[in-house]
Amino acid sequence: VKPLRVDFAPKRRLPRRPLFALAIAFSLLALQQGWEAMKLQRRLRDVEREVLDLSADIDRATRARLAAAEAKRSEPLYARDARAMAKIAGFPLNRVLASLEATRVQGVKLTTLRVSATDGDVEGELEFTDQESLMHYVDGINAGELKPRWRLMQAQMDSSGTGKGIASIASSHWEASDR
Amino acid sequence: VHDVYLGTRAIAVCQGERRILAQAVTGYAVALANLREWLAATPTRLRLRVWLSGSLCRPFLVTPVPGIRSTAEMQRVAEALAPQLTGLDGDCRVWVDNGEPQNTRIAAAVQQASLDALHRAVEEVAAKDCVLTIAPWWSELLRAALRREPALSALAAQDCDSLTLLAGRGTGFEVAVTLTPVTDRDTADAALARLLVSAHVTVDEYLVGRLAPLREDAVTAPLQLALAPLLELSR
Repeated sequence: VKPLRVDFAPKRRLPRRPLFALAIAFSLLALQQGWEAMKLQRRLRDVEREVLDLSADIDRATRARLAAAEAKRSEPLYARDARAMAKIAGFPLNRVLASLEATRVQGVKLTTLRVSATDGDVEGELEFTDQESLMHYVDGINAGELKPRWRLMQAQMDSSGTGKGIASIASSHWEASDR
Repeated sequence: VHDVYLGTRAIAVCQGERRILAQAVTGYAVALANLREWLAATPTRLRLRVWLSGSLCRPFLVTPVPGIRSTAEMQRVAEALAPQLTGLDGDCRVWVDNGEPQNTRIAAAVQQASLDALHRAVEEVAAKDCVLTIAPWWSELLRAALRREPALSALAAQDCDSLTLLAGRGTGFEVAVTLTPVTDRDTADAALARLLVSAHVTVDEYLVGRLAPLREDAVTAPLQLALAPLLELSR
């Protein structure tokens, strides 16, 4: 034998009105949720578009920055010319000439002067009668300098018997601050 | 929840372990009248489980009928056979146990007129939906007895107007019959002895549950079931 589930009571029907109201309430809730979901999706799409725009802006800015850095690295020709011009304009030619003109030694005469303003170098050629006068001249043009600026590059007596010699002097590192 | 026992000789109402009402009656109509009276006198909203006596709701076996394929067909056959197999008059409401249509199945029948009268009596004085279940009391006894003894193979249920015997091996039923009227214990014992012999049922052990609504002495309920305060159990 086994347990028996005999029952003659009428089946209970669920009340229709509350069920109908519940169904309507759930439908409205579903509609409202759907509407909210749609709004959220639209907002999401807007934000995604915004992110794309911002990413494009960042890319453009990055490219511009890289291009600027690249441009900075490759110096244009005019910049070099301008620097050269500035060096020439700033070269202390008066100071060079003054130091040479202020020194007068018997038997030593400046015959040639070559100035390279861009490099800051000056070279000169001298005629001299004896070694002692030449050394005296070199000491004279270096007078007043903390370190001797001029140096004697070459000196030799003329072998043809004129009793004169030719010497060359050089000086470098002349800058605008030496004015 | 209140448990209402309705028979043709008695009516009783219990709430849990408490017997609230127990009256001898001279027929089902009087039992319903007493029920209506008690319901009318009870101010609170009630929920009722109605347990019918073995005389009002009787078990029977529906043997397989060739050609029957569906449960609905089986139900119609059972309803047609119920008056002849149970002795109830008129149209019957029939409950048929589930299972394959080609197997013998147990069923229970109650007169449609009895059910209608019950509904009318309740609806006159109480809410329409206050009746939770309407079932034979012997099915409640069977449920509780099997919970205590799962290997039980036979159960006899005696109440105010009948003796019902259910027997079978395993989960099947080989005997399902109600004898009525059976109103006293001696008659019930004699009828049970004859039934066990004539049904050729060899059972190792069986339980006899007796519902005594009018018993005055209070005893501890031997099983946990509805109408427990009215029950005596023996072997």
